[in-house]
Amino acid sequence: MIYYMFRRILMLPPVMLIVAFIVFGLLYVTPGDPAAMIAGDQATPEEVERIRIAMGLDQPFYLRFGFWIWQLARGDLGTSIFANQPVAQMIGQRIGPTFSLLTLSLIISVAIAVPVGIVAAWRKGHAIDRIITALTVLAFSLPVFVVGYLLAFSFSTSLGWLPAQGYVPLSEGFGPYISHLILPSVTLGVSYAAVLARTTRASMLDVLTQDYVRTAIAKGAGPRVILYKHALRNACVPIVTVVSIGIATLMGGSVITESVFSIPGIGRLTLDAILHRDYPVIQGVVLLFSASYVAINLITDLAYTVVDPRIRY
Amino acid sequence: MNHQASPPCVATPLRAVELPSRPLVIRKVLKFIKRHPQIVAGASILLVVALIAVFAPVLGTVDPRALSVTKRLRPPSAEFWFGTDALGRDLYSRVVYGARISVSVSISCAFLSCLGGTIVGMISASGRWADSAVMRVMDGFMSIPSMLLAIALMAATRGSIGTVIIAITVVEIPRVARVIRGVMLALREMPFVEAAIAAGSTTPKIIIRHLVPAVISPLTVQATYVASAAIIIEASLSFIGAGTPPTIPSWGNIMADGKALWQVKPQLVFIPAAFLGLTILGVNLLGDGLRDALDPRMAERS
Amino acid sequence: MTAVLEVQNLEVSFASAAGSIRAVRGVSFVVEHAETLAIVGESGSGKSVTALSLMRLHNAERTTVSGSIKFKGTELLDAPETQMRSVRGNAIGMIFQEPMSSLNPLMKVGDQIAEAILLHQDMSGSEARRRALKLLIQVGIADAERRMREYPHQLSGGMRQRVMIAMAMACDPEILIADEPTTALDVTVQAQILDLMRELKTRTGSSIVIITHDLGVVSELADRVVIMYAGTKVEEGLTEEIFSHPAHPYTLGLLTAIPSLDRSRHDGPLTEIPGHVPSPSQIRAGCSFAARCNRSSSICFESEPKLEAVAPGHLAACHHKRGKPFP
Repeated sequence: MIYYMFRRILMLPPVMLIVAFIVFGLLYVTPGDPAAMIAGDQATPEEVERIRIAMGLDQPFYLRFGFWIWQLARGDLGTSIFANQPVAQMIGQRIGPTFSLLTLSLIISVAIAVPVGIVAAWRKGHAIDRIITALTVLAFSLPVFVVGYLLAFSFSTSLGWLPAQGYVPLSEGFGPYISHLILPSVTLGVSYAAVLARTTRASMLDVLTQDYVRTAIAKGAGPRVILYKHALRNACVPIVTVVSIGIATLMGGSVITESVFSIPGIGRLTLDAILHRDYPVIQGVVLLFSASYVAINLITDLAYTVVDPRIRY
Repeated sequence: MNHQASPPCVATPLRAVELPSRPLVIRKVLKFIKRHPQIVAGASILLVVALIAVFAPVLGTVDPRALSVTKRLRPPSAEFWFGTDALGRDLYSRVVYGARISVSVSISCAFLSCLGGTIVGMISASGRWADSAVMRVMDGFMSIPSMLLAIALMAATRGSIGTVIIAITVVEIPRVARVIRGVMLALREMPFVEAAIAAGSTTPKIIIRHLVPAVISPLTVQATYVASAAIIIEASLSFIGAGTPPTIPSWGNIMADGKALWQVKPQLVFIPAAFLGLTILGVNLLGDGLRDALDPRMAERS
Repeated sequence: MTAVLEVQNLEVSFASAAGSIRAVRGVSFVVEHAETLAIVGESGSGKSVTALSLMRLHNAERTTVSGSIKFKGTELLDAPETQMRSVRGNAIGMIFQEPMSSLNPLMKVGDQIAEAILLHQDMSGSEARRRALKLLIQVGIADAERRMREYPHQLSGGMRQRVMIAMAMACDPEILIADEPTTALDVTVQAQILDLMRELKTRTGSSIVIITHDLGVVSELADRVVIMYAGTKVEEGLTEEIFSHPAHPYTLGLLTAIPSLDRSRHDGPLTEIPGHVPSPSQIRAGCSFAARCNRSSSICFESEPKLEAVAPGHLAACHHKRGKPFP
């Protein structure tokens, strides 16, 4: 088992290298002069030149790439063109809200989607199953910002129960912290939860038709024992897989959600960077998210060995 | 003694031939609708949207880009069926023309990513070395959350619809490639391919006769998923200002324009949102229906 | 003394896209105390469906079961589900054909046996595990202590089936239902499992209903045999009687189809029964075996033969059964 873990961890650097290469290389594969692009249409030739040197675009590709990797290894994510600050620092300042948003979203989605999927599987073909299936298709069809406005309109503008914008750090009280985060977290999680519920249902259905469930029934087990002890445990692997892979959706969606709900997190940072064509910031954010995503997937992969003994021995 | 008797013409009495109550064609169509409600629902929605897109100029619209300082933020009226936005533009026309973007982007992305994904998938499945190299790169792409990759691509280029299409295609190719690769690898193992090779069939023949049919149905299903994702990504990119240039109306753009005033003029946001949601729902229904129809194993589970 | 199990006129149909399929069409039999009954038939005869109905293991929504199944006098078919649960694994135990897929791959073997105990008996977890260990030893698993903590995929096929038997016998059931228990095993392992079942039978005195298509298994283990064809019972009797004086042409066909070591190459090809088992949707009027039968006559295609006695305790459903003159 240690062998397996070791091999999986060893696969990490090459993948990250490729990710870095992609993010770095994007600027070069697109037609046109990268420096001019970043400087914008209104820039003077001097400004373009300044940007070119600032981003090292005058140097050969491989040199620049190598240097950049070396920087990354030291934790230096480059410098923002617009704000003239280290990108790492800018991200560090805004990471709190985004992390809270992502975590709460994940928790809410899993807590709702998995039980819903189980119910739909257990009551397959009944009314409740059809309703759940219809709702998941609908939920999956709405982009994050559409959901955001729907929820904000219903619960904030109309009912006035929850605030629709802003962020309150935990240090200023748990109540306000949560109340400002609920709408954004639910918004972000809706599409993700829909996929999760579907996968849970499909996986449970698959497991419920297995022979060992029949054996459990023949032993005299009741529905609760069957569902939780036998079925869910075996259905776990695909469900955990989707939980893990879906985190990419959450990460991407957080940028949009922060825009809708005016949350001062990394997403907002990215949006400003887009506006100002501040490519180093975008690079840094994308790299950070990708690295986290890869790490999370690795942890999940390793977790499988704990859950499924067949991988272990 | 014992003798062998042949079964006589048995049992079932002659039934009077029943005349069909409706023409055969209509009965067949109704049967299809009953068996595949999702495909029908999805396709109908998409047909309506496509028609709106194609016939936009003759649907009672005006120039969607026409500004009018005096007629800003009007509520829905006889002149402006959905009202006007903050720059005095007719919301109805903008929304109708916006359908063009969603339709063209989704179709182009679906086509291009299926093409690209098939090529990449086939290359990957062609040899052990190619497979690990290509899959490693695909893993790299898939390690970047799609929305972020799209944003990065858009930030590195000059914004235009073409760029949006390319960005989305790049994001979606790895998934299609993976599916095609899976099909190819599974096929390679199958006995009938070995038999065909043993019978002396040449490679192109094998490809055309065996591989292509096997690839068509998963590819069709993937195409619908890509189309759905394409509409969502384009709208999201436009919403945050990194997508379709603001000069061209797209549903995401329109919502971005209405963002500032949405609490007082909710229709600016909710009308395009409704169109967007409905269209995506149509694609998803169609995709689900196709998947159920083409892969009976999965249909049984669902 | 009431029979342990009394099945009367059991009918099982499945709802399908093509309409209702009658898999079992009026089957009746009785299992006495400490008796081993074999239900024999080819695939498609309805024997497995019958076995699953005994404990109501069918999917309630798509299956219609009618008739009567009485366990020690209590009717099972209309019993509430909670009552069924207390019977399953407790008074009636069942083992299945595929021991690999019938065991939960993510649970230790010892825990699975302990579960069978704990579902019906009130005791602590450690006590249940002690009992499980004893059961494992009883079913002949060497190094039982280590095996308790292992997972199904770490055991061989024969060992897994022994575990299934241990689970089924955990609460000392009155009757053990075995659905093709040896079909998926190697021949040598088959013999071991049959030995085990014989030993358990004498030790515990429980009845056994064994479903099989293998007449070798029948001769080894069964006191009485029921032969099924196309959803109905076509013959029934004591094992020796059936083997020596088969009355129904189908039974005769099965017996003569068994290859024997005494045959030589010059005896000609193996006898087989021509044709194939009709699918449930193809059942027509008259005897369902008539089309394949070399004794059939016109009456066979018109009316379905009833079960009639050929000798005491020996019933067959045939218009031309041995022992009855040709009309």
